[in-house]
Amino acid sequence: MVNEVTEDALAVALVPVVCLVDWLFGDGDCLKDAKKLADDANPTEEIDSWIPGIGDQSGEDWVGVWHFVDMNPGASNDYDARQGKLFDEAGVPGEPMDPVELVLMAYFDTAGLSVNYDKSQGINKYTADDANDGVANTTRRDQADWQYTTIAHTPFEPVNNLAWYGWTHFRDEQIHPVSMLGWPLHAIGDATVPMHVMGTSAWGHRPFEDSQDLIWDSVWNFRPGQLDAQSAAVGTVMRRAFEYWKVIEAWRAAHGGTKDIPIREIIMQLAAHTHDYAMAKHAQTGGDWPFSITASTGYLVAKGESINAYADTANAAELVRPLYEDGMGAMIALLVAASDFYR
Amino acid sequence: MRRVLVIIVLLIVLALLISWLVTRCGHDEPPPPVASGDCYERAEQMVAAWKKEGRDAAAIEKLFQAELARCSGVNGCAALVGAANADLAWLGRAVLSKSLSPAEYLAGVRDRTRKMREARKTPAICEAYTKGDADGDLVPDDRDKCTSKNLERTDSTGCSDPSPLPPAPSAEAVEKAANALTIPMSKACEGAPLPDRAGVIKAGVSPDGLSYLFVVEPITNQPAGCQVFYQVDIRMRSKSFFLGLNTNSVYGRVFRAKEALTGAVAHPSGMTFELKKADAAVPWRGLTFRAVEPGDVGQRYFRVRTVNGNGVSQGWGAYTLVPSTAFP
Repeated sequence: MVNEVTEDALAVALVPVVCLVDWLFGDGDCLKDAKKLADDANPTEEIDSWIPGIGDQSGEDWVGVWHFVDMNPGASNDYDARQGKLFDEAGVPGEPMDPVELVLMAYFDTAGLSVNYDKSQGINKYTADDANDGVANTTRRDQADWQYTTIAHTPFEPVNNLAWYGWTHFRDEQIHPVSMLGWPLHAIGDATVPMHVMGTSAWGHRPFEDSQDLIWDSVWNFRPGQLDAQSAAVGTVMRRAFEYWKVIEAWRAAHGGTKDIPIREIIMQLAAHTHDYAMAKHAQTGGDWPFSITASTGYLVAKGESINAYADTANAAELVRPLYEDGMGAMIALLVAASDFYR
Repeated sequence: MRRVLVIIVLLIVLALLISWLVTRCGHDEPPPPVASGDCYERAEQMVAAWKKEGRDAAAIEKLFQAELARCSGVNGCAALVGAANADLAWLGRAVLSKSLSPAEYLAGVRDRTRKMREARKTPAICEAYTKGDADGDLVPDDRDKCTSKNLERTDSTGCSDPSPLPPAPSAEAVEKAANALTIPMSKACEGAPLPDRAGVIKAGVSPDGLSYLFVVEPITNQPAGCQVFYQVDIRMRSKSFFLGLNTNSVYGRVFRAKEALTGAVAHPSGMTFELKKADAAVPWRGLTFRAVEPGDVGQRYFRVRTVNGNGVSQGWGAYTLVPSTAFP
């Protein structure tokens, strides 16, 4: 459920390249017959006659752009305290842009693909302009702000706004629907992924995430006879939970004993931890983990190998465990705080 | 008694005549454009006018992008935004076609996006831009101290930006990523002429009633192996006084030649494509609505855009009314 509740389609407008949406996100075969840029390809020179056309091909496949929070220093952050996805600033500080991200950006520009303001569900949902939660409100954008250029140069709202959307529904609806906690829980999960806090769709994003299924047992040592290891991990998680709970309680005390929580601040703190940890490990491992500039291209060519490369990294479970511990601590703190609404 | 019956019949005829007259307005006119597409269609019509005026392709692309910006609500800065977006599209094509290095591409993108964002925040720049930017560097002439060329990076005074190129992946890595993403650029289409325009020459419901069929003129001026896509828009106008129906909508779909039907329903000289009734996305009622009563409207206007495997196109053809006919 947590993974399903937040997949809001981003509608796109102005699709001049036939089948572009198919090519990017679908497995439709519309383009499979168009000769791909293959081994012997010597693609066209600039096309004088190329005039983008129009087709309001809103795509339900366009999801995921609301799931980032860019914690990189130097990010523009034009509309939020921390911006979400912005292609042309995405990536690992001090490193070149990942080629997959560069190619995507070039194609968005070539195609003239822009947000469809009227049809995109996330724009209104994730514009936090009356949050009163200690984090700066989102600067509300009009249609021109969202559509004046392509997706490659349009900053999206961060994942902590997505968390805020779900939390406020949970908080404000009379029955306090548990399902609405799916949004903040999903956001917590995203904020523990190094690529999500660098704003990047590449740098090994997908193979890193997919590899977690393969190392899950090792991360948590949930095997008979390993009680000591489990206890240590649980102890760390509870300590992290206590730290986040203290943040919530301090905020509540400062706001007249409200049951509300500063959900966007919690997510930002978690994302900042993930960012710092990931950058430190990236330096310590000589650029091997968690970011790999070849992994996303590799994932497109040989998916399994790319996933296994992450799973087979020396000490993969130990490397990733602190991210889980931090995220699980935040989740426990959130759920404990949310339970106050049922008292 | 007979007289009463005659009067009733006459009254019915009179009512039908009045309803026909009431709903007649616009019956023979092309349907009004769908509101959301109105602005974009005007922009396309302007492209045709600019071509007639003999403007070059690069200028038309900038003008067209400016119109798109206006359609998106960009007021006051549409010309500069349009030029910047046209430059960004050019840069994208150039790096994907390997005529520009990835580092030069990223530098160019940063230059264009910086100027575009700055202009959006500074109306004076936009206003000055409308008075002239002879060298096309997005720095208005009234503050441009240098002449630049070929999307050269500049500072705010229009002089060359000497800062080093940003870190970027190698051209080989970009090519590998582009290959992995199976980006549709076709060697077979290299040097191909503009695909001819095509139109729909026949349309109607299939004999078994399960599909809506239409016939598109095939394109024959592309080299062997160069795929052609047929993007088809169908504007459906359905109107009925008695059913309280008055709709005007557009449905679009992309077809390839190999999707053309064969067999009994296939047209001898065109490509017969089908839209299946069972497909939930197909607007079956709009496609098949028939005018019954006087004043009813059940019309389908078609337009086609042919695009080859490299995205080259002459743009959309005009909407043409195609009456429903029987197949085969």
